Amino acid sequence: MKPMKRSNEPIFWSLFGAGGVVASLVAPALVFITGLALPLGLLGPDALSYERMLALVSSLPGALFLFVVISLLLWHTMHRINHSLHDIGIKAGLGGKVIFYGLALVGTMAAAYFLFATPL
Amino acid sequence: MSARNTYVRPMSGWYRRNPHFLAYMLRELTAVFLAGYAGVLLAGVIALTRGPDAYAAFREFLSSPLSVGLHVLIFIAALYNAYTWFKVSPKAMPPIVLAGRRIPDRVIVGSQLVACVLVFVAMLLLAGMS
Amino acid sequence: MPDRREIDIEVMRYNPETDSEPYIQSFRVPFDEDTSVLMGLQYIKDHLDGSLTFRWSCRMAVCGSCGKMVNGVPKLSCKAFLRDYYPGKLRIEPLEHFPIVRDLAVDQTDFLEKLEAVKPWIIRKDEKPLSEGTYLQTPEEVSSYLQFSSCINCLLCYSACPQYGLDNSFTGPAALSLLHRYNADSRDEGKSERMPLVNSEEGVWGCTLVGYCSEVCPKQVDPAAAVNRGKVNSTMDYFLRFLTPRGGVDS
Repeated sequence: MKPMKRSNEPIFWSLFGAGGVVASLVAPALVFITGLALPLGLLGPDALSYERMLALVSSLPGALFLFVVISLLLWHTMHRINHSLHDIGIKAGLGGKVIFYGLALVGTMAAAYFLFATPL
Repeated sequence: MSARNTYVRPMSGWYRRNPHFLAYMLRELTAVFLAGYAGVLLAGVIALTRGPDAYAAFREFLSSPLSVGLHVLIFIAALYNAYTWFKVSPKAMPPIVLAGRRIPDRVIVGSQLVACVLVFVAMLLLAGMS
Repeated sequence: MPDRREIDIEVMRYNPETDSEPYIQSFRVPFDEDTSVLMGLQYIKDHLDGSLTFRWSCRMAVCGSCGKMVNGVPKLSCKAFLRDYYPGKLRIEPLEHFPIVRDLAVDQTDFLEKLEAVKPWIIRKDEKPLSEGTYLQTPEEVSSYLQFSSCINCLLCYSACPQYGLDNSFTGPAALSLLHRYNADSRDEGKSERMPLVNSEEGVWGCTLVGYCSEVCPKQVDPAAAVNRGKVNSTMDYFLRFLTPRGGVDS
């Protein structure tokens, strides 16, 4: 039997798994708050106001929270989308990995830049 | 052994053959909506760093019927994804043994559902406080 | 009063010497409360068409020979009953994702090679002599692998696995479950011999947790759990190999 090549999937599966926890535990609440409750006027008048959000991203815990949510959601979803291509019969191979994990990496770096390196 | 003249059936459209596969594909499809939401959050952060006017424009976008409609879909996708995630989670962890007895899968799944609801309520209270 | 119900059974036929592709043939079969799908096929072979080809042996869900697709669902035909499909009809096809040899018989060669590759036996570095007695295990040690040892190699899980159907280089549910069964056995010392397969693309990483394998398994092996615990093991092996000489999992 031919020697087996070690897959580097554990790196992406770990990020996918961590992102899955964020997606299942935090995302439903966040989506409801920012996408539905806020525009439909279910929250208080000050909710998600510029001042309060600025205070949130200016604090290290707040910035870290948003960074983790944005980055891990991207790693979670890009992993799934990459595998879905294979499921529908598209053999993207290395190209798929470069595109989708590349997108997750770019999103992660953008989130880091705007949350930690941009003067407010 | 002589070469056999076997017949290999095609896989095209396999996900339409069984409701379980359709549910699986829907689970994978939720990723597209959740990726979109990650983009919305990132756009919100960028708007914040650009000042009050940019943030006001971002909030205006969130209030548009298009955005609300999309967020209804994203919310459904997030709930379905969460449900499927909790449901399969016992398969990806070693059996948890407490006082010599293995914790049943439904307890593991159930406690995560409860945690999800608690997070939901806590975050709503945090965001809603004015 | 005797049961005089009859049911339509559509069977996929394929003769490699005369057919370029399979076709469906319909039979009308009498049945009662106790008639299994397998007995329905045997009725066809005995009374309607002696050329119908299918595998079976024990008739009691132990041997794993009689798996078929019944209305698109992988089933042991001895454990499925005609009464449950009446008044509808049945469509019986060979197990999905395997090449059809003839009628309902598929070529299992690929699975048998995979089964051998996972080394499904206890590997010891030093065998202790019989005079020193048997290898003892606590009930906890037994329970960590017992369910995975129930596999009867019936291949229903392979027919339920689209990843195997899409790319049969994937080792697949049953072979990976048996691999996990031996890796999880406290008497076994062969984990380091099996981990290269687990860690490869052809090992656990071909799985996307569709989960249907565990639904169709007639022995509650839960292959999806075995494969995904394999992913956890492989991930630990991947990162811990930098910290410990043997990758942390072969303790």
